[in-house]
Amino acid sequence: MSNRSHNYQPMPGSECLITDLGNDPQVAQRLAQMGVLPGTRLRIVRLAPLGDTLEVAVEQGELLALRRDELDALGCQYQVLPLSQVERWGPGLYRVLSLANGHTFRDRVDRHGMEPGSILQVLHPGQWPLRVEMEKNGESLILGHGEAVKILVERADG
Amino acid sequence: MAKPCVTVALSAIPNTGKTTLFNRLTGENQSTGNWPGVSVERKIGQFSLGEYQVELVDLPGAYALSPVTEEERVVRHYFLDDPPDLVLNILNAQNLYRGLGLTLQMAMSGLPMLVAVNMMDEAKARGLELDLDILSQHLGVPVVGISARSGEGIPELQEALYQIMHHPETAHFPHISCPPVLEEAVKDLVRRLEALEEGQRLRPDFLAFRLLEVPAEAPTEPLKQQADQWRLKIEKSLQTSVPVACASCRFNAARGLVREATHQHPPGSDARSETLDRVLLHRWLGLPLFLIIMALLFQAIYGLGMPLQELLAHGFDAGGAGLRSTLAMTSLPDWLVSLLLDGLWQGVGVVVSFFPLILFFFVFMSLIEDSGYMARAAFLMDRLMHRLGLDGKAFINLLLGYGCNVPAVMGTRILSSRYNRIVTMLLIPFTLCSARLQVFVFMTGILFTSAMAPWVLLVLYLISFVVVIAIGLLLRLFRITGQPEPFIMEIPPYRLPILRSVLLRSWQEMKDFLYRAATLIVAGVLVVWLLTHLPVNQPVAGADTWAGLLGRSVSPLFEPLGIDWHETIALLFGFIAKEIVIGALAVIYGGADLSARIASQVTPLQGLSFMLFVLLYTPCVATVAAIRAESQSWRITFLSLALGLGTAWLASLALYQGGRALGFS
Ligand SMILES: Nc1nc2c(ncn2[C@@H]2O[C@H](COP(=O)(O)OP(=O)(O)OP(=O)(O)O)[C@@H](O)[C@H]2O)c(=O)[nH]1
Ligand SMILES: [Mg+2]
Repeated sequence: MSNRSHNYQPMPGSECLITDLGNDPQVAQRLAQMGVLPGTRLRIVRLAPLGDTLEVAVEQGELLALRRDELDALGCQYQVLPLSQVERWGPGLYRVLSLANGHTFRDRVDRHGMEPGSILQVLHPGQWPLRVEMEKNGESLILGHGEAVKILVERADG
Repeated sequence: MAKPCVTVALSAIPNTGKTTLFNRLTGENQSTGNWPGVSVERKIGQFSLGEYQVELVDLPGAYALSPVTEEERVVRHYFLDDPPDLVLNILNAQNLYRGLGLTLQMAMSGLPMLVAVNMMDEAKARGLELDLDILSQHLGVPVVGISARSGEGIPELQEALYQIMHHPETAHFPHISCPPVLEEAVKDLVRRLEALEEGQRLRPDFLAFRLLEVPAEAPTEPLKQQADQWRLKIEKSLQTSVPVACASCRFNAARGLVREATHQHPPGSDARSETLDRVLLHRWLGLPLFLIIMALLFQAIYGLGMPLQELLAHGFDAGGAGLRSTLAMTSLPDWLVSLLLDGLWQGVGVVVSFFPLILFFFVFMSLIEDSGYMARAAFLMDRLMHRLGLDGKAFINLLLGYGCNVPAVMGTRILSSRYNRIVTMLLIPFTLCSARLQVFVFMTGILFTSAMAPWVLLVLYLISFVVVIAIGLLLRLFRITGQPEPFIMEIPPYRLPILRSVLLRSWQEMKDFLYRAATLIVAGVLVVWLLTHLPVNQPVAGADTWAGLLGRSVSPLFEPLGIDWHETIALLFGFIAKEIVIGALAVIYGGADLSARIASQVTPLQGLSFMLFVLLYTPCVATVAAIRAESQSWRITFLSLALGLGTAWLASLALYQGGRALGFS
């Protein structure tokens, strides 16, 4: 099952598993010839300052630049997303993989005991501010969009 | 006795060090050019190895033999139509997987082959341990570890090459397992190919795969139909196109091979590049830093090159004057002296004066390219250029056009696809180069107050930007220059450029310019001389010379632009080089106090219209020659001329008539 992602801005840190190479034969052929095939894992490294162009890392960290349209046309199963985009996955349990830097932000999440490995429950993804519950200590935390972007998560409920 | 000649082709995916190895093996003995009829760089070099004379061909980087880009089409046809005696395939030690796709394809060709695993220095420094023997066993061809950059392993490579030339029997071929329907198709096509065989050097199953990828290239009609049927059948049963299906099988094999051949894999990626990118591609810092680097690049090329260019031009003028007074000259008829000095000598002077610019251009551009920053620049600027159907690298070429169009056009060869190159070289002539700037500074100084003049210059720059964008959109809309190619680009790690490579390349480009553009430039200058000096005994560029006649006969075309026939002749001179326009005006208006003459005869509106025309029409004969040399196509060259003249005429017409309608004179 591929889930196409037209409405989401790709975010640095997101990772996806390619499920198909899309409908543009030229793009599909180019990617295939570079060894980027269904089953390959992509990590979005950064967006170009002007937007529209992305830098992605494949497999062992080699970097490719491609355009947003080209990424959107791929079948991508997201494995890692920022907490701000878990709406794609729906309500459920999420494991924190990493937290971005930022003084006030880190202070705040530290205080609630959030760290890589923590499990969060999100009941209403897509509702802002986002309410998450820490499974460990039952504390709940209200996050703004700007904060949720900084938390990379994967699904923790299979 | 002549040495037996062996052709060796370098084949690899982009950025693996083909050119570096090529330079190392051939040294000075190389020549560059384009592939016949296509603007894709072609390099050939010679070296001798034992009793053999080797001709080494540097092919463009290609990911596979099923073509996506023009470069890949060139590579494919090179192997299919005129296979070399030996293939030297290069892999990047740090990324065997990606390169092996092509290696496996080539290994099946049946041509004698040698694999060089390059960048062993970097791999070792990072702690990567490779077992090349295992690689060699599985591929069925010898494998040598080298570093083209430091020279490590080169003697071993030469020895291995020599051994293959001596015993060119090919070893076993790697077998790649494919889905049954593909295998079946290949088996069937092999049978048919063998039936019509005429002693091919390429193996039939290699040819069968090529046939499946592009059935249209089949040698006979029935074969084409058969291949087409198989292709449809495969696509239906596998749900992917043939090239993608084949790539999947190859990379499955490659993945296994890499796993076996890699003993120790370093964790993570290149830390130095990551740190640098964090700054150079930063969301806020990335663009300002890019602009600073571009400003430095511009200054380095033109700040150093232009004074030298002027010096050379003055030197040639002085030399011409000196020659004129020599005895040999004074004994010749006047017209012959003028032909030799004002025509031929000046033409050669124009050619030579470009040398410093071209040299500096390629030195600094190669530094930027070899360091790895070019790919970053392309990434940063991609969005802007994407609108024009170009990729980000083209931005740098366009920007450098604002210094001088000639090296900028030559520099299009660093762009990644033919489509990009052609569109960019059609746009560069609309950039306001410094020669045109001289004309504008002079004219605005005469026609406008000193407070107004800078604004007029600024407006001219803005017009130039707008026209570049408009023409870019137009070319994209009408697809005059073919289809854009997908953008997907590898971003290489940062590396220190190799000075030797940079200098060798710049030297090569200068020689190239001399061979390929000089004749056309000198011819252009001579034509203008003939027009302005014939028939004999007329004042130069006078009303009754051919130029005068021409100017007067096209005056109905130029009157609506507010440009009279005197100025039309100056425009004709401007074809040689824009700097000459001012001198030409002086000659035409009869020398003394040019400023006053212009001020009294030309209104500001007419002056603006004239400047606009100068801005947009063909920059100079050297640019035309460069476009011809780079594009390999008269069609593109004439398209460029027509675009320039057409745009200039329309823009000046609109300006002059619009201005008059608004009540200016
Ligand atoms: N560390 C290291 N760098 C190398 C070596 N060989 C080449 N390079 C670098 O790799 C980069 C690419 O080399 P090129 O020779 O331009 O590669 P190419 O295969 O000709 O590239 P394309 O023509 O673009 O396909 C350059 O920056 C070289 O300096 C090597 O043995 N070691
Ligand atoms: Mg090269």
